[in-house]
Amino acid sequence: MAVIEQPATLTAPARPSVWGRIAAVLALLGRSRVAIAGLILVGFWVVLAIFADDCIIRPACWVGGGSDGTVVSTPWLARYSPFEQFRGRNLEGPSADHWLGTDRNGRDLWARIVQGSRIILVLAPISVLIALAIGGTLGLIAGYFGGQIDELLMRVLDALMAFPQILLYLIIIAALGPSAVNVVLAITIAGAPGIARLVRSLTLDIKTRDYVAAAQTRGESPWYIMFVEILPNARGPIIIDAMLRVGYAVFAIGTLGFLGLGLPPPSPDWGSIVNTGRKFIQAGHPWDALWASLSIASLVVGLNLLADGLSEELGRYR
Amino acid sequence: MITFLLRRAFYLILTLFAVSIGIFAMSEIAPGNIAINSLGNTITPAQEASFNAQNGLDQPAVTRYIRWMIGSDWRAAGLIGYPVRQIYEADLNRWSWWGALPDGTLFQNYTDDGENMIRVERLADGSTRDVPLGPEVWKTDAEGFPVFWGVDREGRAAMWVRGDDNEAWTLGKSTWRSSKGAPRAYIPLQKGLLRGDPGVSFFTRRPVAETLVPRLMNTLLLAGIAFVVVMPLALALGMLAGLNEGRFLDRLLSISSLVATATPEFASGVFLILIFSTWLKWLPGAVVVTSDTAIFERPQMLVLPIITLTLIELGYVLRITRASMVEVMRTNYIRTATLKGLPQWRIVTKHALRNALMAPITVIILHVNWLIGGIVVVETLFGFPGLGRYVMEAALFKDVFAIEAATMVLVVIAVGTQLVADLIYTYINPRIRYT
Repeated sequence: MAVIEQPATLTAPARPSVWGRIAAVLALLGRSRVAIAGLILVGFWVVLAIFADDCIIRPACWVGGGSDGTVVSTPWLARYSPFEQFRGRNLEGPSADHWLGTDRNGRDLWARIVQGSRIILVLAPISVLIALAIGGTLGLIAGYFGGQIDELLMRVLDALMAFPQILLYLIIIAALGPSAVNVVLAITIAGAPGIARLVRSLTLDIKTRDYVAAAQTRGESPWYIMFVEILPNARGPIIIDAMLRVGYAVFAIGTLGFLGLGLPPPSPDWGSIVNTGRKFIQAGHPWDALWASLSIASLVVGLNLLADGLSEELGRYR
Repeated sequence: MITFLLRRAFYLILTLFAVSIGIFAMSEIAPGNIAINSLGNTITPAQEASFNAQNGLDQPAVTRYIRWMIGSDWRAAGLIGYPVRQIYEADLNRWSWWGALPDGTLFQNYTDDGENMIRVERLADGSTRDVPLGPEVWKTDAEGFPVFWGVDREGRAAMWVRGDDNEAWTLGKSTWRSSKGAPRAYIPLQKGLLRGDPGVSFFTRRPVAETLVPRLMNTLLLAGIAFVVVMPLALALGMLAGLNEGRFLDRLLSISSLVATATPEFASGVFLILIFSTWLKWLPGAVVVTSDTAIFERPQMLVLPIITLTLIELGYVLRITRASMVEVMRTNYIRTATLKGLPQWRIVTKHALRNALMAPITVIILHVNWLIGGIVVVETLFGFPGLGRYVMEAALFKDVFAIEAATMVLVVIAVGTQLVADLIYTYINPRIRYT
């Protein structure tokens, strides 16, 4: 007679702690040389952006005081203020004083590049997060309710996606004027439809699972099911997609700055540094354009390598 | 198949309609004042109101949308009682609108005192003569006012009210001019986008179409060459990478294509200019167009813009081709062919190629949306006189009609190519269902 062994206690599989999961992701990254290269590039800029000046220990400049000169921060890694003009030192090449040289107003290029990384590394994730919130909600609604709502939403989003993104940026910035808020708005509007599509297709799939049916039987509200049952189970592809989108957003912010539609001067926006700097290339001063181009190229490449390596490693274990 | 095509075409028109409303809403209804953008922020409210009336900006959005799409000349003709016609005045080098009498004489109207209407008739040699009109031309409108509809001297349909001393402001060469006895209401004459006339630019005061068409041709030339360069190169390299999956060549091609695609166009363009123009001095770093044929006389000007466009597009197509090739090489029919002992080149050319190319060809055409973004940046960087730079400058100067027209043209190209991609896909992949 067979005796079925009863386990003494039923224990739920231990849920790894937050640190445990971060460690697991890092271990995953460590296996891919591509991802490590990406991590180094991105990490370089993140460290520079955080420790550019003492803003991290002075909350006064978090609320917008840092850029217009009302709150004077003490530069750390940036070495100088990005707005300080050194008399008689216009358009200089790299030297011991000014590592990357100076621009036409005698401002230190290293300081401007480093402060520029902060702008781009703040704006890009913010715009992706807002686009995620809007696009994710729309996608959940379209996928979960289906029918007429789905049809209508998808038609509108298709029309938005038919726009080449650059035109969307141009029209929005032309109508509203160049500013940090409008740049974020433009990137959000351009990015949300793509996210909505992805989330919708994931929702359509997850909607048919048993646990959703169980929640429906329990009488949970549609919003609870969408955000508590469906969304967390769709997070994998959404996160990979969002990482790629941060890369696109950096790309877009740089492009807008280059076209003169980004942050207004004197803010040290990489794209606008290239835009003003390219006029001095023929005059034998390529440094502005060169450094800013290198910076944005390395950051976007880093972000792409990171996303690429991560999705490849994840795909291998799926 | 036919229903599928019709359905696709119907959705295409629906999408374009939605897009046109979106463009119109964003550029004309959105906050931001066209009068102030065009004339500067020193204008008085009276001048602003007068400008808005003269350009039809005080009319409801629906009226303005209809005027933008299908024109306003037919509506004006109904009010005036005579057809209106657009002619080209060669001596003044400009287009202007005139009313046409039944005998073919062209006319415009004005009045100095709000009492005696004058008809300016255009003679065959281009000179004009004034014909005074009697008081019988004043007709009573629905609200009981004596009014006269005609074409004013600026070529707009206009409504004068008898005995009116309305004041209009116009910006001359440099100063504001005020004139009494001006019309009460205007209908700016326009044929409409669908009939090839997207309006007159507020910035250059020339018809938008006149600038837009040559710019579009230049852009099509640039994009066409880039496309012809990118396509075979990306397909060949992608296939090479896919066949050598996991080897050094594959890694090299994959990583370098990722770097090329991730680098923004303006950054890679700057690198190319620095290397080939500033350092090696092989190629010019800017496109300087002095005449219509300058591009063909100095084709080396186009080399750097084309390489920049190639770099950004190459990587994407290469990666798709590689993935598609890898997938196809793992299928059972390729394994069967290998086991039959067929030589490798024969397997690739006879069995794998057609199936592996299916995805990338569609993707390339769908990628036109991205190509447009690249074109705007590349044209700005190299100073190439194309549509991308045109729409960029229009956006910078808030030249509303130019933005609207150029955007619509680009969206039509983007959406049209998507339809073409669908058709090609159904052609090369007969398994697709027409849903």
